Amino acid sequence: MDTLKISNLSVEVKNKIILDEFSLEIHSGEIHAIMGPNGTGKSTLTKVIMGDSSYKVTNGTIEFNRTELNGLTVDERARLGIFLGLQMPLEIEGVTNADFLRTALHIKEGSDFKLFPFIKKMDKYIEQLHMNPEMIHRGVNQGFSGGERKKNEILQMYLLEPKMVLLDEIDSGLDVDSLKLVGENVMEYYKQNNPGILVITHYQRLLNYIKPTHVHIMKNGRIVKSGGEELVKYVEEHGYEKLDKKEISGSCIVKEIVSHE
Amino acid sequence: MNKIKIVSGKLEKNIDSTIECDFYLQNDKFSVDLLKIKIKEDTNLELEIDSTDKLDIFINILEGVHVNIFEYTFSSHVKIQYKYYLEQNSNVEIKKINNVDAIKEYDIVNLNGENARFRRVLKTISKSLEKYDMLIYHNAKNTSSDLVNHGVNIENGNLIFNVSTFVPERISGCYANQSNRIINLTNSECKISPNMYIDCFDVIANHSAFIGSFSDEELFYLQSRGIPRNDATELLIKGFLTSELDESQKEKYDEFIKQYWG
Repeated sequence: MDTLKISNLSVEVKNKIILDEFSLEIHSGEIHAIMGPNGTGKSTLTKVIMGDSSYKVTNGTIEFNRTELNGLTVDERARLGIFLGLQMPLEIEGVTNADFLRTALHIKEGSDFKLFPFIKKMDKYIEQLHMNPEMIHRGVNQGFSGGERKKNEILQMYLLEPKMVLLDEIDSGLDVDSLKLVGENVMEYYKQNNPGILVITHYQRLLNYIKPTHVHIMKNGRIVKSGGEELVKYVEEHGYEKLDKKEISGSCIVKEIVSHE
Repeated sequence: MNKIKIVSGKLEKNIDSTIECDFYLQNDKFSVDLLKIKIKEDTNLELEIDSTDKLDIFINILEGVHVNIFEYTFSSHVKIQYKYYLEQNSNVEIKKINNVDAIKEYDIVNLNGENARFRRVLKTISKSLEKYDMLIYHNAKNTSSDLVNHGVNIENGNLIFNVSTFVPERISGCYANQSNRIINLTNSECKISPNMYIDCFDVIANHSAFIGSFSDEELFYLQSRGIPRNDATELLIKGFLTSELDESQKEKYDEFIKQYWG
């Protein structure tokens, strides 16, 4: 069982508090969806877990399988098995997808790395994701559409086989068909590998494909409500404003999150 | 492919009828050897300058001719001057790799005929003084120039790109682009002067100049896939130096890149 445990995490950028005593625990086999208004720190959370140095952690800890991540570099965290699928993956001139992935896999697998199985696996997933096979020989995300970039992120996820997957608004910029394809592939990976997954999203539509086991609403840098899928429907119908003012009735189970300990 | 090679003041050539080539060796040490190349029909050319101190190269591309030139300069210290003359509707694309200890290079591009197009991609690893002065003259209407200058500055490197593009009055419909980028991995000073002297309103002109290192965002992205920072930097350097090169050029350049990075 793999566990990502975030305890009382506070994060600042330029003296502005982005995450405020944030706590959350994700285990293998769980899919956590975090929703919330713009600017509440959702994307920051994923980047801080991954170790982005532009954010200053002022308090709290992040642990993965009891290893404290706070002092680890981005690549060390990734090699522990954490993967971040970015909202807007960068274009990297000149570095081909193939070189990029081969290097990453080579570092991960060391002397066990074999080129032929890597190519075979890559071809399989490229087909599964309906990607143009030529893309693999182009610069990383160079000239890719929004949808192609997201598929490329999922391709990387498949190949790197992470234990904990963080997906930051993986649905943004996707058309209906691409959204379905990306969502279904995330679920396919989930069924095969049983990772823990944290999905950041604004919309219910992604969660039609990626079925969350836990849903959290985030505001002002912390989780204000948690529940199940019914919380997603409530937000979709009523927005975030009413969550503050009114307890959700019916079958919706809403609880204040203090900590998951 | 046609091949012209100057090695230690000697000409070696293997060319067909699409190209004329003459080499004038100057025996006194105050004069400069001269290589004259005339491109008469559409073709590809590999040009290699090896172990040569001083050289002038004149390249004339005749009317309507399209040529791809793959160029390599390998020398310790070299002073080299290029003069390109492009006639009407000619089209030149050059991909050039320099691997030298030090270089002073002058490039003069004369776009003399209407619709002439010149594009050059330069890649270099600078280890001591490398100074490039490039002058691009749009002498006819609807001409196009596009220069991509990429260098990585290491060791005692001091890399300088002075690039000046001229479009006089009444020379309308031109396109002029310069893209200059230096990845400076030292504390030495590097310099880019991206000048555009444009006296005509009907021109599309772009220029960019960047001196610095790779962005934190790029490194974060590569590291987030488990690649350590040093390996990520090497990957970015190799990508930067080999982007836009053909596969065969990449292979050739990889040999030099490996001398410095893995």
